[in-house]
Amino acid sequence: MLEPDLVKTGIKGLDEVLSGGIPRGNVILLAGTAGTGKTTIGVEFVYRGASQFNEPGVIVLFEVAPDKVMRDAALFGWDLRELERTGRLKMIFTTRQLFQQELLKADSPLLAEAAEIGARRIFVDGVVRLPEPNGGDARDAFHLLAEGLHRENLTAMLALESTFADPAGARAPEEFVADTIIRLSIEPVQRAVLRSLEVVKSRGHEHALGRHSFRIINGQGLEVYRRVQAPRSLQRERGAAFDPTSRVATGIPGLDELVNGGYFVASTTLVVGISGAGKSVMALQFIAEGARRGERSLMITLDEPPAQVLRNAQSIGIDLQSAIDRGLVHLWYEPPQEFEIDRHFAQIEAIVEGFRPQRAVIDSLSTYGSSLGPAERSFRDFFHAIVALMKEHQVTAVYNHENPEMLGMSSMMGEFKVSSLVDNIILMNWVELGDTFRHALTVAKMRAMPTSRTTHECEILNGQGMKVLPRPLRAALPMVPFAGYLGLLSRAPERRTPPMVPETQ
Amino acid sequence: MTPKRIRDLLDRIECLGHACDLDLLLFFYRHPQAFLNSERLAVYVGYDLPQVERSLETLLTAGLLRQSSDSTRPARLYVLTRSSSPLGGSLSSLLRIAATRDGRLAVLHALKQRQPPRLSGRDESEPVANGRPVPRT
Repeated sequence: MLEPDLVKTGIKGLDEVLSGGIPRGNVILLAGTAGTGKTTIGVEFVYRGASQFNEPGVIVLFEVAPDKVMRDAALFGWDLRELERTGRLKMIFTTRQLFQQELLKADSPLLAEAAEIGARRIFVDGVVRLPEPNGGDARDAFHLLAEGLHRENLTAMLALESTFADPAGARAPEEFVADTIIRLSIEPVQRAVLRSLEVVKSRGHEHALGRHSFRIINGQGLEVYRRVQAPRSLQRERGAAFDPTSRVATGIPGLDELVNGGYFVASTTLVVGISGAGKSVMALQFIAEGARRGERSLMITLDEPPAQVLRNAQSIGIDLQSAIDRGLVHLWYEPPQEFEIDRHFAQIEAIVEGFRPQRAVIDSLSTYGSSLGPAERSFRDFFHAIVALMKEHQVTAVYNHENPEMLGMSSMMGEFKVSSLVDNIILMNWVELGDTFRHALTVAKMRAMPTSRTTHECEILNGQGMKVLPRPLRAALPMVPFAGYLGLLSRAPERRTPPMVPETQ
Repeated sequence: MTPKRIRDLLDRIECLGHACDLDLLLFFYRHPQAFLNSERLAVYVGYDLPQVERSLETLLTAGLLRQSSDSTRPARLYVLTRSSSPLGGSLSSLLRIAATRDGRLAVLHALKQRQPPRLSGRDESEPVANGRPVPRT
């Protein structure tokens, strides 16, 4: 089969959405209302072509003065003046009518200017519904324009201003003629704004459907984040078949015995419990155990900034900073106030692919839940994508989730029903005995491994961290073991009578 | 930016005589490659068409501007020739000054202060200085 000649846009993330680029010679319509980023995409398309792919380009402007475009481009680090000076770019200011007329003439001086530098790309900013020279309709007029561009063998991006509120409801006739349509939008989300783009159609190649987020970043340009739900490589799906023999030590004394020697490699473990139940401590010990073994670990923290995580680690005797300095731990913090889930996932993906951790922790999933809301599928889709990413890269991952119930749990994940996606679930509870809340741990689920689902007491000691206490407790300890109670998780445990008989096994 | 500096630059560039000459230059400074007809240019710079055509001729003759050569078309591609012109350095300096509101007013003032028009019988919208095309240097 003939491979299509694809023009790479060079815009970060966009070529992935376009499955490698846009077929050469396509007329690409950038449709969107004012402020959606059409000019920035178009200018970057030409800039990247001229500066990275040896494809000189032309920018045609009808309303914005070229010096303003140059000034704005400089904010992204794009030196358009230098490209002009070296004959790789021409910026031409004209009127729509003249431009349209010139494209219909084979000997146009305007097109001769483009040919003089060997232009392969063109961006036309501010196309509006074109008047047909001989009284025809706008669709004919646009068709003539597209033919003119095609004759010149230019891959063209045309920014089309949309003024309608419902872009899907009122299709411009240009959209039927264009080969590729990229619709840009900007919408308010919880008092912030979210930019997104959608490749509505693109002739001659495959592309990722759906709306993908993007940002316009000073000093860089556009960065497109593929929709988190979009299917990834087949390899990612195959990653789920994990090694059935190797075990990954948890780093919690006493826990490995409860999970058959450790977690499976590339398995997904959910640690669920109320705030203060010890989830973050467990996570830090999991990371520290990796560092002790010389394994790379990624810790994604959403609730606590790095300095606080380092201090917490210090308080349980873990020198996390030293592990970071040795390149064994990557601590990544993103404040949750203005999550853009596609972007967030793309960042995690980049870290995983670059740092190649063997262990990972996210503390905590509930922060995603509160940012994304349970109503839509976003949270589940995001979690599904994260699980698949970690499995593809054979990362053994632990995810903390805060369950709001203080004593016992009536459900593991509350509104966020993702427990079916995970391999292991560890429940962290408080148990009220006398006037004290004591820590309890139950291994509730272990995929492909046996589990007793007994509740074990654990303790967290300053400078030492967490450990799971032996069961039954040694006689020297002045506490009645859990086995001496009935209904520990029923929120009203009862003491056994007569006194407990020690287990024989 | 002193009046003397502006006068020196104007003396060096020599061909500028009318406010329209300056405003056209400023337009092409912001739009270094423009494909337009003179009617449209007149609308952009705000002078009457005959004056714009005279000023275009002045700038073209002085080599500050070049245009596409096809006379059968109403529109031409105008290209500001800052870097290739021998006057490039002075022109850039003058345009940088005139790019601000105060700077433009100062240059216009200096233009008015220059020697009166040598050609008689011209009204306010016509060139105030030499009027004749200045040969390329």
